[in-house]
Amino acid sequence: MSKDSIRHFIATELAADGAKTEIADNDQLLEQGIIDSFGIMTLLGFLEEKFSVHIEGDDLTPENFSSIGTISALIDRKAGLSAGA
Amino acid sequence: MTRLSVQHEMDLWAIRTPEKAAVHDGKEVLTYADLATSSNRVGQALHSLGVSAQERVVFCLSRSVHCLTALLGILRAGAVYVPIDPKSPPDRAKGILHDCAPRAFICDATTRPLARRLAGGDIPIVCLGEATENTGEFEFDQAWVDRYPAVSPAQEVADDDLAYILYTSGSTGQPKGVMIHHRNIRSYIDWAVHSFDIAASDRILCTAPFHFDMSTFDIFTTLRSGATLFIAAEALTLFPEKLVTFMEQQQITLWKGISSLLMYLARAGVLRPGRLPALRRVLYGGEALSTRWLMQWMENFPEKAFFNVYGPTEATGISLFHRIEQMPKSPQELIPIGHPCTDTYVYLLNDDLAPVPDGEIGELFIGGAGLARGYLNSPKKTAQAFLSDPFRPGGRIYRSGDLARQRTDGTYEFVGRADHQVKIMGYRIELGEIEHALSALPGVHDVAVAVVSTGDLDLRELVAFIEGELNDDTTAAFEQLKQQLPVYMIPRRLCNIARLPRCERGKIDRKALQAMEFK
Repeated sequence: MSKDSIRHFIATELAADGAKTEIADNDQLLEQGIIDSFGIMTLLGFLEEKFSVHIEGDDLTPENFSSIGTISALIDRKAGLSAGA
Repeated sequence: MTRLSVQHEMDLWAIRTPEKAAVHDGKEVLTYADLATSSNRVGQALHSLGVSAQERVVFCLSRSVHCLTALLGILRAGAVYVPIDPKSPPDRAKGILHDCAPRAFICDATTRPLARRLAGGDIPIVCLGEATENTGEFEFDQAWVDRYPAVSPAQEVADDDLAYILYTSGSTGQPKGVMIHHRNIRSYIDWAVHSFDIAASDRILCTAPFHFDMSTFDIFTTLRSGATLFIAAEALTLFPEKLVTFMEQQQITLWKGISSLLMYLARAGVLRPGRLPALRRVLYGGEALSTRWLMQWMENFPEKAFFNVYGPTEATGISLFHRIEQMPKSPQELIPIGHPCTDTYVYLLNDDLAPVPDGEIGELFIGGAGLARGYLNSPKKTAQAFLSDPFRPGGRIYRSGDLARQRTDGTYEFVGRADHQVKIMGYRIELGEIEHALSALPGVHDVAVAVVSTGDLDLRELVAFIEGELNDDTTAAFEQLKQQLPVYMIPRRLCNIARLPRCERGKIDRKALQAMEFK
């Protein structure tokens, strides 16, 4: 389940805040500052390695990275594409 | 010829080209006339609050045109501006306030809660821009500022007066305030405007935070040359396509970016021939940029000029620079940091402060017009870092802590650090400051922090190795660290370790630590 591993990664590696382990699917990661310029690069490395996808410039949009739900949907789309290819 | 200070030069542009945009943040625009008016009002308002010459005024604002109003208003009052990161952890920001003892605190609606927490009741708070709630006690809003006349406070500025203080990471846990004179800025900006051919027609992008020395290049070259500054919102720097589109829409002609951001744009695949047609000059610095990313930029944009720039906050801005004339032959090629700027000179010295033989590695010492006065309230640290020039009587040199080598063609190349300072995302980080914060956690006996690479992204992260009995649940530990350290300084992982590897004399063996992590 991509959501849970993305949630775990963000909570432990990006939030730098052990208390913030409860990140809901719809929590606004950008508005809350959970993902910043350092965080997004770390997150990309994780997503590409973990899910064997390649995330390109067109995918790097606020819409795709606004919440765990939208990141997970992006990964599902990318993974579906590569599986179908 | 009498030389003018930053604010006076800006006033000349306000007369020559009053309707021209001085600063644009993607939402709001201030013309030169607007900026002259708004900053004069802030200057007058600060006077009325009792701010006098060379006293400090903190500003902590989200990225908007108001940053320029605040900064210039402070300079007009003859005061010294001290920028604080709006994301600064409270303990760190409190430490800075305690050190610089500001007479006023300028914020906006977004940063007001932090301003209240830090300064509430003790220091007058001036909240610029749209107000969102009633002002509290000892607080003043934009409407109050606007009641002051838009005339320059009659405040003479001497060359030796301070213009700003920027705080950098300190090894003992206390950030150090680097004091920069007006003449430091003048010399730097004279050189920059000439070397990069900056003119009123330029449209300059600002991606650097204002508490970061890279921002001073953007601000002061713009105001000197009557150009337009475009402040990019932080969100833009997260999304490469958005940033490139913004640069295209605003027809940016010059960008001095942090190396990691150039790397990010290259990696995201948004660089394509024909894009960014207005951009002529790209400067990068703050840390090394892997040559393969530079090659991507140059392959896509052979028509643009690329410059590698280097310089510590203590020497104001850029100390050495190198124009990359030819495409590197391979990703293994090391790009030099080049030659010293005008009015700047460097030495490569050994531990006894004697010059190293030609071609050998030495510590880089910098002398010349960019040298800061020193660290605020820290004569001891100042004396350690700023030494008498052993070769030029009366001169001073700054010990950079960077190791370098001079090539046969005369250019310098950066080799690494002589001490325990590291750079992550362009931020200078003293490992000692992090270790100091970690050592205060319950159960921690001793600690060492190392920087380890992650994957193939040229990304590095901080890992803390802890001797002692740190609780398995690190929630409380991270919570405590967050109070003291900015997010970029908080180790991503806390690892318990039975014994830290040590060298013969008991010093922590940092090489061994990194090797352990790779296992």
